[in-house]
Amino acid sequence: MESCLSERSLVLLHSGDGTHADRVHLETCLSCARRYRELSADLESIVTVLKQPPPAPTRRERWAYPRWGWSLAAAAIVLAFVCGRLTAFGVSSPAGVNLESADPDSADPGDTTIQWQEARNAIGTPASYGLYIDGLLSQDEPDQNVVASEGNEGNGEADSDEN
Amino acid sequence: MIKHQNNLCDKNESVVEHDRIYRAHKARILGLCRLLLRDPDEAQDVAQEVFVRAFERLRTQEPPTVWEAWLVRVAINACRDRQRSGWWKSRSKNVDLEEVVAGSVPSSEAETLARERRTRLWNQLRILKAKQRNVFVLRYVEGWSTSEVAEILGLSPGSVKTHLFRAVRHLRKVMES
Repeated sequence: MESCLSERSLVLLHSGDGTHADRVHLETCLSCARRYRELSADLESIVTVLKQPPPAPTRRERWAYPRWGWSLAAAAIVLAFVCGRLTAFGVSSPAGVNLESADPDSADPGDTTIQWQEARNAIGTPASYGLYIDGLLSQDEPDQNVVASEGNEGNGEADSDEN
Repeated sequence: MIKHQNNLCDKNESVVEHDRIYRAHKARILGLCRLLLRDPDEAQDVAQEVFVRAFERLRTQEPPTVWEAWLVRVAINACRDRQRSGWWKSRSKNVDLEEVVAGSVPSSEAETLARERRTRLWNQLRILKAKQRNVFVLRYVEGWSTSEVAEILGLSPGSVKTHLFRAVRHLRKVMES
């Protein structure tokens, strides 16, 4: 037995684009003929409605959330990039101080302390979070040196007392 | 002087002819634009644009043999241009159609149902993808053949059939619900 026609085939038959085999089947199959009649009635009523003037519009303007969301996300990324660039410029040359020259691992610990102190004074108010962190690090370095030197002095005194 | 008077006569004739064309085809072209575009205001704008083009054609070139066919084609192309433009897409707002009940006259249940169905159908037509809507309107409402629809929309006949089937399936679901 031949299988019944698909909805697509029925639509094509209705619009005059169906195949000869489908048309022959439609003439012989009661089920397909009934479905075809239903389709014809539906389309007729749809077209009748659409040929009438449309109902009065009530405009409801909504924000196109997805589009605005993407725009805002893009704007945030651009803003973050620009801020990052500004921060990078601020770190590289704050008032002409070259922090790379102030290497804490240099041979002379006394000079290092002075250089970091100078750098910190030159920076003054940190222009960014990165500089703020650098400032904190530079503050920590001398303290550690002081603690280390105090420890050494204590040991020296203890040694001298023993002696 | 005589030449100037001839020009004036020509202009007056053009205006009169354009007025006649506008009155004869305004409703049809506006109806077509309303079917093809989501926004009724946009449809009004495009319909006006079509008649402006008709006036220009009347002044500058030989008038077409059948004005109705020419106007319909220009309207379809204008609607397609509008649908394609990014500005229109970004501006495409959700315009819900709602039947305005005149006064507070109580209507029968059948009338209410018919009105609801009509509103729902128009809203669903607007929800359809542009290609599906264009194909359905031209094929069923305007009564064009598949090959004619394919030609004016720049699609293959197979693609037209697919869009037509999808549109019919969607609108039938609305009718059943």
